[in-house]
Amino acid sequence: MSTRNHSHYRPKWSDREVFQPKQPIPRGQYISFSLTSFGVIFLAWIILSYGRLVDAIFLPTPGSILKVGWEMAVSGELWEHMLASVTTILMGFALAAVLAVPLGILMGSFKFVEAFIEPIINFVRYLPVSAMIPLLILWFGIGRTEKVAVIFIGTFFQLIFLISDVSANISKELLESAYTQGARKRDVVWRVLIPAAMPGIFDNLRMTLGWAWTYLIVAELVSAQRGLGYMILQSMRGLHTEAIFVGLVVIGLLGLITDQSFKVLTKLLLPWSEKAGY
Amino acid sequence: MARKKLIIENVSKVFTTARGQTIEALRHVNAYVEEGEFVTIVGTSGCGKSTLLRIVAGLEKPTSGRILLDGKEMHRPGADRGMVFQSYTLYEWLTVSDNISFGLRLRGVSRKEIREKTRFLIEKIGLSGFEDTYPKYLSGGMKQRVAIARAMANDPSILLLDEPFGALDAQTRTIMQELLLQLVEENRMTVLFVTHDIDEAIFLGDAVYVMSFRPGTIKEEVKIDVPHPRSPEVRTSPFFMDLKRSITAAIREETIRSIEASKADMRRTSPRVSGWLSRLRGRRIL
Ligand SMILES: Nc1ncnc2c1ncn2[C@@H]1O[C@H](COP(=O)(O)OP(=O)(O)OP(=O)(O)O)[C@@H](O)[C@H]1O
Ligand SMILES: [Mg+2]
Repeated sequence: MSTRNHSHYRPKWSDREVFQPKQPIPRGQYISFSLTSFGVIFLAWIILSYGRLVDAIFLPTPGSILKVGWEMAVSGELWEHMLASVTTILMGFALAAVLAVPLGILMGSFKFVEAFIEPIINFVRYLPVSAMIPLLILWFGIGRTEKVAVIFIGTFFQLIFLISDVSANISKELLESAYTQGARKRDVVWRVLIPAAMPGIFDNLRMTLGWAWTYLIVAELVSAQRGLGYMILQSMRGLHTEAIFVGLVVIGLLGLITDQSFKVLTKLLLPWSEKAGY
Repeated sequence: MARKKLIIENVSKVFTTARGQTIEALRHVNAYVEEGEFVTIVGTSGCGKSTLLRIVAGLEKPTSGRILLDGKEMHRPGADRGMVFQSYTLYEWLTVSDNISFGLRLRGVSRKEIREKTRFLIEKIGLSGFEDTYPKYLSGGMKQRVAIARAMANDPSILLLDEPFGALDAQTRTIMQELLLQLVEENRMTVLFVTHDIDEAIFLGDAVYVMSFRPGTIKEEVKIDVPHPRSPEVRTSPFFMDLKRSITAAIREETIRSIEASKADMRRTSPRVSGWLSRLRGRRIL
């Protein structure tokens, strides 16, 4: 009897799992790859800063940044700026979301609403919000109102467009199956259309919240009395490079935290969605 | 003779596309389903099967003709014509049992009755233990079983199915056909079932309508005199084979026409492009 004989086949290096496109790799391996990239950069930083290869004005040592960060935290200065930024973001973003979600759903579901608001939205959408900052300062001053307006304009028009796309892409047969079960129009909207749109809405909220950070920092760099962007700008003027780095790290961490909370929230509120994982 | 439950009377449908072209999907379709009968409609892809079923369900308006259910003309969709779609239409945010009881809850049926009914149906479709599972964890066959139970939960006068097993593999499909047949036999349901699969149409149907392609008309009506309950062995009987041969021949012509039509569709380019093309051809570039 002849059997197929593979025993002479010697695996090549490129046959290993790691080199197969789209092939998952063990979690431990994944983490060690991630840590390596992080470690390399960190090591380079340590060598450059502690070895005095780069002037501390340009690249302070990790230790000095930690020290300055600690001092700023103890003095309360850091918290004041952080609180200012976070509150402003939440206000602007909440306002945008509360208005854009229902309008977006309407726009995606009803052609007449789309025809009514699409032209305006399409115009504003291609206008970078940073270009509007001078006008907004003129209208609202350099206080919180102006920052909220910047965030609102920067996210509202994008959100409404993205959410209308989500609701327009919900399969018509999903709604029709409800009609064949005796649902009325109101039931179809509340019990089918809106729940079906939820995962997409969450996704887009998460994405635009990331953009909101960018808009806020830009607005604070242009003109402000407090906030993390303002703090960074002041530190630059005083050549306090450590404080600039503290600001960057804090902004990065806050972004990470908000993004992760959205992930957790999706898992908690929409456990049924494919996006929540299996 | 049994009473005619559903009558499709002289139904025609002409679609007008956004570009202003007209497509005659259905022309003077006449068909009926008797009380307790399982009728299948078989036809080649694009011949208007879904359109016809959607008109029966009230999801689409016929250009002319009408739909009579128990002698009453139907204009709107309703729970009396339960439908199972070609694509998966389960509600992802509801568990299996909440999907099945969707229509019942809309109508404010009592909790106790809902619980009993969903439990009964879940057992019937062989998904006991999956009551609280979300659809994302179900296979295609399981999803369509839930969709069937969901339509049955409302006690429809007629059950409409649009190629419900079209996306399933051949093995799963035969099992699903047998399960559906068993459900229908046990509950004495009236069914209108659309498919492009000739085997499926004959195995399930008490009567088979064969449709032609563009315009969709009823080309042939075949009675399948095989008593219920039907066993899977029916599929290999000589009687079944003969029927299959004649229906296959009838549909083959239509399929060839549909392929010709799709070639013609591809050739039909916009006037501007064809002007361009002819100019290029004039210069002997193409
Ligand atoms: N809304 C519509 N607008 C324009 N044309 C349509 C529309 N719906 C269907 N048609 C056309 O009508 C014809 C019949 O379509 P239908 O979906 O009923 O076919 P089908 O028999 O169900 O095909 P399949 O087996 O592929 O599901 C097709 O030529 C299709 O292009
Ligand atoms: Mg179809």
